[in-house]
Amino acid sequence: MTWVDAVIQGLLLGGLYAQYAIGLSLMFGVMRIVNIAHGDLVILLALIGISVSAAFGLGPGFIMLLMIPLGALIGWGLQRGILNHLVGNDPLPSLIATFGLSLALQNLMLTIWQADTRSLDAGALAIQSIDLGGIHVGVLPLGIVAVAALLTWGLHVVLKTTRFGRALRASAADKDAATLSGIDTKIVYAKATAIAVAILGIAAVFQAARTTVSPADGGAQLIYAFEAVIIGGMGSIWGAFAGGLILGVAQVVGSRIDPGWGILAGHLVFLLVLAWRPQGIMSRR
Amino acid sequence: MSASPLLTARALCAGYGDFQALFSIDFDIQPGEVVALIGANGAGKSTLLKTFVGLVPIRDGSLTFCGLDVSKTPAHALVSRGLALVPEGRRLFRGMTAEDNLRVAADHAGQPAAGTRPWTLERLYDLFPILAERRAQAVEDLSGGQQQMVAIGRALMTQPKLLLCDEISLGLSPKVIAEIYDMLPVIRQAGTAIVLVEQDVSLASRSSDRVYCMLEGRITLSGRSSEVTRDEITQAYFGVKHDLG
Amino acid sequence: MTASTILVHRHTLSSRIAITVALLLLAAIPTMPFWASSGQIRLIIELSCLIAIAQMWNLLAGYGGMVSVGQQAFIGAGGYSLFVLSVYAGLNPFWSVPLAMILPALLAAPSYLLLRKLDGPYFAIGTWVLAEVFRLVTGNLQVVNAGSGMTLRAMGQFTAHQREIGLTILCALLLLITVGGTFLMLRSRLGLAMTAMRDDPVSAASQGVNVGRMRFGIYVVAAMGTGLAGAIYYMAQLRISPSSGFDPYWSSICIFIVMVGGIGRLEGPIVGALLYFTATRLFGHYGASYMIVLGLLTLLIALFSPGGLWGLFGKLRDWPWFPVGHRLEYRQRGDA
Repeated sequence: MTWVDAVIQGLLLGGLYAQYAIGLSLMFGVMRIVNIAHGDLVILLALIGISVSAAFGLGPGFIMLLMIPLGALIGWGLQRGILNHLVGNDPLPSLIATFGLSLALQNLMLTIWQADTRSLDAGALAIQSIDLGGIHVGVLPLGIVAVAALLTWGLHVVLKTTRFGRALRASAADKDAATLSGIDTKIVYAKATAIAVAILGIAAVFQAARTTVSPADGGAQLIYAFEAVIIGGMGSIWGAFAGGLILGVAQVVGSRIDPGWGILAGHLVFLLVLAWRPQGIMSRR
Repeated sequence: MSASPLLTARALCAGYGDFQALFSIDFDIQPGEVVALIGANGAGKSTLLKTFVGLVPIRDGSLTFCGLDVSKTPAHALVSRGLALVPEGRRLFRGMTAEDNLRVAADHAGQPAAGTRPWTLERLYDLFPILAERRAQAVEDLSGGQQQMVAIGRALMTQPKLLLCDEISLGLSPKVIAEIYDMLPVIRQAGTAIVLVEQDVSLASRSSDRVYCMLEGRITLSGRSSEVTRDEITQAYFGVKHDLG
Repeated sequence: MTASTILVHRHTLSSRIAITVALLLLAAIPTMPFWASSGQIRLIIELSCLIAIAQMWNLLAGYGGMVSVGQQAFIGAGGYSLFVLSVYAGLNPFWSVPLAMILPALLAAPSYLLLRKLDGPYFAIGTWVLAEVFRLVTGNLQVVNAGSGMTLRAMGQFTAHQREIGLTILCALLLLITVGGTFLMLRSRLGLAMTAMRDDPVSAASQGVNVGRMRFGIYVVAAMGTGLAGAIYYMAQLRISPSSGFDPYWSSICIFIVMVGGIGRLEGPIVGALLYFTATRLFGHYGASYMIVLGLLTLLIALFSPGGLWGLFGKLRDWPWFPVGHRLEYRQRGDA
């Protein structure tokens, strides 16, 4: 029973990782860029959300409505101001630029919010749970997984059926040919990054409501998002979702074995997938 | 000749990085005309087409399309003005269906020229019936000829006034080449001018009104396809007796 | 008539001066315990380690095309090797230093084989995960005192003066091996292949360069050099812990130094390390604000001057310190 519980708690934790992973997977799929500041942006949005909530007495739902457009705006600016100048075959420039951004952001947050851990008061929602045959399932974590699934499904539908989705897939497949079809790839890229960071706005509020955040946490969030993407399979958004859940299960089961080994267990599952199935578990190849 | 050419290049120079590929190119095409561009490998034909559509930066000279200067217009904006390129090697969007490849172009199309019927999926499927059958298949699963049809169709869906075709016969069987070339008069009748880059010189001459020959980044010959002689073409193509003119 | 000859040579006046000065400086380091203060010696040890670690990152990213944000994996592995060899095998710490390169090499080989499956930027994040794995494993291993870290008690058998002599000799050797070794390697036929690979891996492969094997070799060699520097650095510290030895901040330093100094050039990491070292002495006390500036500077360099300071300088003056290519000189001789 404890192991069933561990798996369920792991799936619930994984919902958050899935939310981080969607944007990372989207950006890599379209531009072959990894934004090293991805995790720092989650923390930044979470800290802004916490401060705004405290200053104006707003609830988490309202904060989320603010953080989504703010995330989109940050993503748009990041792409237009920085990343669009660095998209190319060489991964080095964009990695270095976002690495510098990550270092600057982390320390900026440290200056503003100090090294304390903070969280968002989600009220009753934070402690509500439902009883599934003896296993307590938190309502908030369940909501996080549901939102992650909804986001993944929504993005899938957008990619498959909309004009923007087609432009995105075309730009990902062949940038020059997309240009020749009349697509302004720089705008498409900016929209993709805006979506990726807007999703982080959602994830940030959930993260802050579910656990705590502090300025130095960004690196770990980036690593979890990355592991989720690789476990699930590069270039597949459903893969990123599944990878997030698997990572969550690995971490919770690992920590039940030995509290010091939780995060390590997640890394080990990632390494095992890399060794035995580098194309990811969701890939058909 | 009509008073207003569709596309005009004057003393056009272009290149990548430190490498200049085109030297003082003069080029015209009238609405509804078919012009062939021939020359050996590396003569600069593909570069010239890419320069026309804005993929290679222009260093000097002028380029006008529909009477407007387009030498600084970004490539994606030229598409909606009616300039389309079928790139060498087709460059389809892998992982997408044939129909989605066509839809991408339709999504970003400009206005068709006044008095012409716009290209639609239905009209395209009439032109290439096999594509209607294969519309839901991923493009990488189509045959080479079918892929080329998608590439041409994709360009047509942008409602071009001028269609640039870069080696559309490359790697295809003679039967498929004939099938594709048979479609060019249909496209032309619809009001679209065509520039053909073609390795097969006699096919190029037969299919065009006029011909330009390139050598080492320069235009070495231009004239009506029916009037230029094989000898002139050979000279312009290989540069034999180049200096004697 | 004039006859012309083309002379091929490698060195310039600037490189002769630079190499002579560099060798003199290297030779001077081991004499420091006899004339310099302990504080000065500590600074030189730190600077030497920074140059060595940065040069190894430059080898990896600038020539191997492998961006790593996880070089701390090998700094920690080198450092811990030294401590374990000294504490458990009872070896003389100074003699353990060269042995401290073994573990980084043994870890680097399978690491590369796993990571090479990751595409471009994902490779970089993969190196970070591995470094985290090493940190977490070390932090859970009772043998190495888990999270609280180890102390190099064996150094107590030496006087402060003896320690300084040993460490300065090691630093001179470290620089000779990492900077000098990279210099010689780049000048060899191997270096030609590496430069070709840096400029264009695809066409280098088509010219018969076995890119996969080269990268494997570079990854392992860079890990060994980094491990050596880690061993010397933590020997001077006398203490190591998982959170310091495997600190991701090491990667930030590498990236800053190499990018600001100039990637893909031997001079770059040296210029960058001197700049970082000086800047940290001057502005380090601003803490987080200083780090914000470092981060923004890295970002700006990536955007506007990918060749770094050395690249900018190279546009003004062609004064290489460590030329690895050949120069052609065209001389016309009048028929006197």
